[in-house]
Amino acid sequence: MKLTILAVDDALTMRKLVSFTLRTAGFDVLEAADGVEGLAIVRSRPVDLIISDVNMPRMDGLEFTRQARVALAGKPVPILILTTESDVQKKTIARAAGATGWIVKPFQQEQLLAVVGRVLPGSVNVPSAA
Amino acid sequence: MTSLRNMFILGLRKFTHRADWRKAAVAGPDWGELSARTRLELEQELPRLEQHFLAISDRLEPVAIQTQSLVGKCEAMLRLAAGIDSGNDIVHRTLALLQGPLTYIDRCVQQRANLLKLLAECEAQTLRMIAARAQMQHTLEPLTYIAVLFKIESARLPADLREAFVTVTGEIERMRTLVDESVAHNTGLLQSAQATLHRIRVSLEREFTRVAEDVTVRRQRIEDAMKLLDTQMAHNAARDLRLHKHSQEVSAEVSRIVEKLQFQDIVHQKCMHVVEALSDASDSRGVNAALQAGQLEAVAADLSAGQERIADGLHTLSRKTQELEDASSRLDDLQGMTAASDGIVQLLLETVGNVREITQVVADLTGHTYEAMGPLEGLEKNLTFTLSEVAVNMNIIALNSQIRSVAIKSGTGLEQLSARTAQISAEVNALSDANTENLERLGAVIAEMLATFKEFRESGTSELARFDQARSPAENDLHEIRDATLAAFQTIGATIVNLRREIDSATAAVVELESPRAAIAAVAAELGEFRLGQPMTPEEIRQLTAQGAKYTMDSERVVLARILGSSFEGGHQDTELFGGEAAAAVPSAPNPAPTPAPATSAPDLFEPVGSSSAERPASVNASVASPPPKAAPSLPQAAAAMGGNIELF
Repeated sequence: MKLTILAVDDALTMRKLVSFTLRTAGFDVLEAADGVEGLAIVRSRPVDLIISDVNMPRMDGLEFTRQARVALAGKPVPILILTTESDVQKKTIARAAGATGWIVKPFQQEQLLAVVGRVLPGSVNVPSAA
Repeated sequence: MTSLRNMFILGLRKFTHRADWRKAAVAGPDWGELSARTRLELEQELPRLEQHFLAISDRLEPVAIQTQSLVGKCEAMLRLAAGIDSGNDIVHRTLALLQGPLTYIDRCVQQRANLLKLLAECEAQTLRMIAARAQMQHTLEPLTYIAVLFKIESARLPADLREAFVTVTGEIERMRTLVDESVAHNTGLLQSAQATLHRIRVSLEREFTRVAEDVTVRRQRIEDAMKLLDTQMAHNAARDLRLHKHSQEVSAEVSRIVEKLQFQDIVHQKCMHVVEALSDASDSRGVNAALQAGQLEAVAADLSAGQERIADGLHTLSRKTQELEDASSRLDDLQGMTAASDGIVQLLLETVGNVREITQVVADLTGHTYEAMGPLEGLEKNLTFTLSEVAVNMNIIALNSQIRSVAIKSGTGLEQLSARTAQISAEVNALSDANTENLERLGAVIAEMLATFKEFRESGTSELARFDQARSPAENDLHEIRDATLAAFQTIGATIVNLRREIDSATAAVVELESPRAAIAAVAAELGEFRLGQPMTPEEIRQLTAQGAKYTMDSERVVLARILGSSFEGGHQDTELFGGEAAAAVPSAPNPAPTPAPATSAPDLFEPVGSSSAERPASVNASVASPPPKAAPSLPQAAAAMGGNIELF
């Protein structure tokens, strides 16, 4: 069974590139255009990893991370922030909100997969649920 | 809302046509008008920009998938061309299948000379024995006149004694008759045996020679095929390495394109920051002009670098496709070897059939020979009995006549006749002994040949049974591998055609980026000309500094620092990732601060290498909304593999 990753970004190009990269590595990918859509998915079905942008309309990635952690109710689902932001304060906020990692755009495919492989050990080469 | 904006844009454009604007600029343009028009230009260009990026990324996925698929198909083709399917070395397995029958054939062929020699020896032996029969008749020839002389000599004897010699002469005549019949019979047998042996020998010599020549030719072809196969294997190993290299290069190129496509999001955000800054109603004097011009120059530089890099990447993918096509053309040789009418599979299929045929021929030949030699099996026993009987009878006659002669006493010729009869008996005995030796030798040789031919017949039958059992699956495998190779070759051709189409389409979409880039560069230039040469007041510097607080990217802060004449000391991830490639990729803009490329080494992770959530500072864990130690999985691997733009908490 494939692992499912939720990609939250208001930029369609970014969602496509993240999805393409992850699908190529064998993951199932769900997409959301902002925090509100992302939260609805988190509340409605299980996901194994979340990758979210920060600056998004309606609900930004930091608030989404906070609310997603609540919705996940302690489930060990990693949340990676993928953003153009490099502000230290934002990172601190994200960390406090429950983010697992911070990736500054642009990413390289192998980098993103390396991070995913690290937060979901053993998933990148053989992306199957334990 | 949209139609109102469009109407506004159209009205504004009519009013501020570019030529009119340049005249106005000379006269001293109005900042409000310029900033409004710039905003509108950006708001118009950004969706177009997004559309073009989306068009490229839409095509990149099939390009990436098909390129990797092409590499995979070439790898599969290599395996098939080498006769390997699903990890099974079918060609070598088929060659191994041939070994049993070939060994059998070789063994039979190697025995050919010895068997022919034995047959020739048997034939000679039978001829010698036929000659011995003639010798026997010649030896017994004197008995004719001895019997007459016995009658003459005994005529003067009393009747009772004469009767004894009549008996002797009767026995001599009876033995002569027996010998005549026996010699005639045995000579017939021997002549028949000799004829059989001769026929077998001639036939074997002819057939074995034909089979041996055939085997030699086919053996050579099989050995050549195996050598060719080994050569192919060596070439394939090198080709395999090249394909792996292609695969890695394709992945790296796709990754670089993916990286540059993300510039859409980055430049979009930068442009929106510019739009926001230009919307500042409090800036009536165009304080923002130089800063926003700098940001838009950086955007244009980003786009230019991205455009160039994406085009290069697509060109590289196109080149890789060409290389793969060339490689597959070279694979065509292998494909020919595998699938063509003179290919290795065909050679093996023919060889399997031929080896089966030769094995059958040899098994039949040896079987028929064995059957043909069957009647010879008891020959020596029959001949031995007849000659021994003659020798024994001769001895009895000689003894009988000698006893009678002694009883009559001397004075008659009977003693001499008896002595001569004994002499003939001794000669017959000698002939019989010699003949017995010949017969024993003949019997041994015949037995040896019969055993050999029997073993050949049985071995051939069992080899054929084993071969027939394994032949069908092997032939099926060969047919399948040939079909699969042909199919793979056709698929590779189709994939290359599709791939070319996708790459061409993506390349055309990249060209489309030029228009929005040029538009952004143009508005940047216009903004840059506003207040050109006018120094900023402290108040204006303060205003711009406040503007910079809204920036999210270090590359934006770099531009701000340049405009303010200060240095940027952020040193954050974003800035740390500036690399030689990114700097070299932005040659056209005079002072832009392009978006950095991600680092490819020396990553900086939030969490130290090998640390776990338990090792994190307590304050960090405590500040996470949900229980982070549980929520965030442990990160056991080394951080060094990630990249400088990545940080794990």
